[in-house]
Amino acid sequence: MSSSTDSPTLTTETTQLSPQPDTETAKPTKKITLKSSDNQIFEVEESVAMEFATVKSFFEDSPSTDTVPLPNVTAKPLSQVIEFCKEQIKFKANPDEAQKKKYNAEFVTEKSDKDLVDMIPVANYLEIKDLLDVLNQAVADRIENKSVEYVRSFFGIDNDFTAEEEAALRREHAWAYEGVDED
Amino acid sequence: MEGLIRKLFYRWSVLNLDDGSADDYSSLVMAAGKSGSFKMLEPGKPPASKKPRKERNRGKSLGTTSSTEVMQQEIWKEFPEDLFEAVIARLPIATFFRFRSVCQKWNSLLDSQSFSELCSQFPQANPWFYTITHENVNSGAMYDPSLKKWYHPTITYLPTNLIVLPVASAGGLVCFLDIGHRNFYVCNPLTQFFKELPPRSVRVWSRVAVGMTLNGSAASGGYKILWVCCDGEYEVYDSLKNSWTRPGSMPSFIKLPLSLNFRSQAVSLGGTLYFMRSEPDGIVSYNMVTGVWKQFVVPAPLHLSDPTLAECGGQIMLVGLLTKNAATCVCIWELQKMTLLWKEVDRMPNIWCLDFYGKHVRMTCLGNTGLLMLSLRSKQMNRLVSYNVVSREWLKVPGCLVPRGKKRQWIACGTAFNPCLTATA
Repeated sequence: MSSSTDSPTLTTETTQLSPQPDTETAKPTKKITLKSSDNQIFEVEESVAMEFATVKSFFEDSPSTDTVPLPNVTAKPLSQVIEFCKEQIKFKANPDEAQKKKYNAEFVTEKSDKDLVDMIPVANYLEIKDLLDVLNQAVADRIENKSVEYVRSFFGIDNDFTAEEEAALRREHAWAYEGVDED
Repeated sequence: MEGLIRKLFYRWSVLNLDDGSADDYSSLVMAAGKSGSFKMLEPGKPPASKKPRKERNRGKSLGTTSSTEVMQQEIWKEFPEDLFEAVIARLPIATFFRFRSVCQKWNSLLDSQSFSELCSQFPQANPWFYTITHENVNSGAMYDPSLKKWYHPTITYLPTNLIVLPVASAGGLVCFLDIGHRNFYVCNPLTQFFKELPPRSVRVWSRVAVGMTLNGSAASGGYKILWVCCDGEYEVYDSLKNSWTRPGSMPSFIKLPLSLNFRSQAVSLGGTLYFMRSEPDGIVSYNMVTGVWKQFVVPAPLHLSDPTLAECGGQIMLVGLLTKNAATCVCIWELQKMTLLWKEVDRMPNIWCLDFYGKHVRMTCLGNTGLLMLSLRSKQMNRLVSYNVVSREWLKVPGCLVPRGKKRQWIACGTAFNPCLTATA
């Protein structure tokens, strides 16, 4: 996507994801290799890969494969998505709604806007519902108190109403324009 | 195997409208098809890129831009267009209405089936309140407890030559009755959906109590409205037939005249409506499905004034003012089903009740399930408080001001309703 994704920090990320003594269960678990579009290799626990509905159905159809190419996903968002799913698996094992909520909130606040925008299509493509929910909510929270003009320029949307149409719409729901943040 | 890869790629190509990537993945599919292994993927293929809505800013260097604002906007222009629905469905309702004027596409979402389905996944946690203030009886004021904001909608179709008051609600629809008790109207205060009900078959000009129930879980399955007056006359409106019917007469064990408490809105619980009465003190109920009336004699707590019925998790509750000597506080009781007695379960925090000391306080309670809004007023005081019957949380509600106004409006009456974009019937 951009050259910044080939930064050396990724190598560290990849090493973190490679086989390590499992702290939760002693028995060795199956690893799955994911390959990003920029040819980074991610070895993840099978359980983590199964969080990706797209990858899961891929494996259900052809169980013998062990490397999944993700030609549309670059390494950086993929590593962040993996980080999120690893945490979700811990919450699945030890349900703690309050902790999970806290983690999910921190996960999005820590990320830059660029990270969020890059992760959203990846979460959508890999069908990671929990992550997509968290990301979409983060976007909704960002714009909920904003004006119409702000949102248009935020997303680069062109106003395709005639002046009359827009005025009529604003009149119809005049109440909804009360008390909006300054742009 | 080839099909699988194609599936994987197809999903992406739907999302990513970049035509340039087509060649990349057909060659990948070929490579995989030949070898049967995914390790044979060609290295060095350029990754697919998202297509921004506007021309990508060439040579931009993120992080070095002086204005963070400009940088942010460049980033968000890459947000995938087909995910807008999922974001908009999560917005507070007022924001949704405001953003209808962003563009034609956002405006058309209200009529979209997929959007309605998305919205139903995010039910509104709290009811809203539709109120009429003493200062302005011809228009309503709406309170949204999630954003803690007042709105002033204009329901264009409501008659302006007579005063109409909200008397009941169900499934996002609010039932209005004019103060002459003649005409009923049903409307969705959010969308301007409006309907005048046919005239009643009985010409009763005395005051009536009104209750409203849904046939199913949403207004789309139809609804019923009941009115009952003190001489025991009653009628039921069925939205599916769009007509009023007189199901029969009240059984003789219900003492007439029915001294109904008109300030207490009917509680609707599983298709049964509960009304508060006095002489004898207690409750009368009407099952909208079976047409059966019941009466429960429940002695009122001592020193009680301005009582209202409410409901919490299937339990009938009572909200009222308790005044002893010069001290007044708001009290919550729960109906003991076995003994038919009111048992006190909660009180407004003491510190707030101190303000009422020595004053003649009147209370209006709006809403009767989940969240209540209490309007407390005396000569020198005009206070709004919300009470969550489930979490037992008391919260101050900001004063209702007209836009650019300074004076707090006095809530005269109102009803809670579940804000629902799609409620029409």
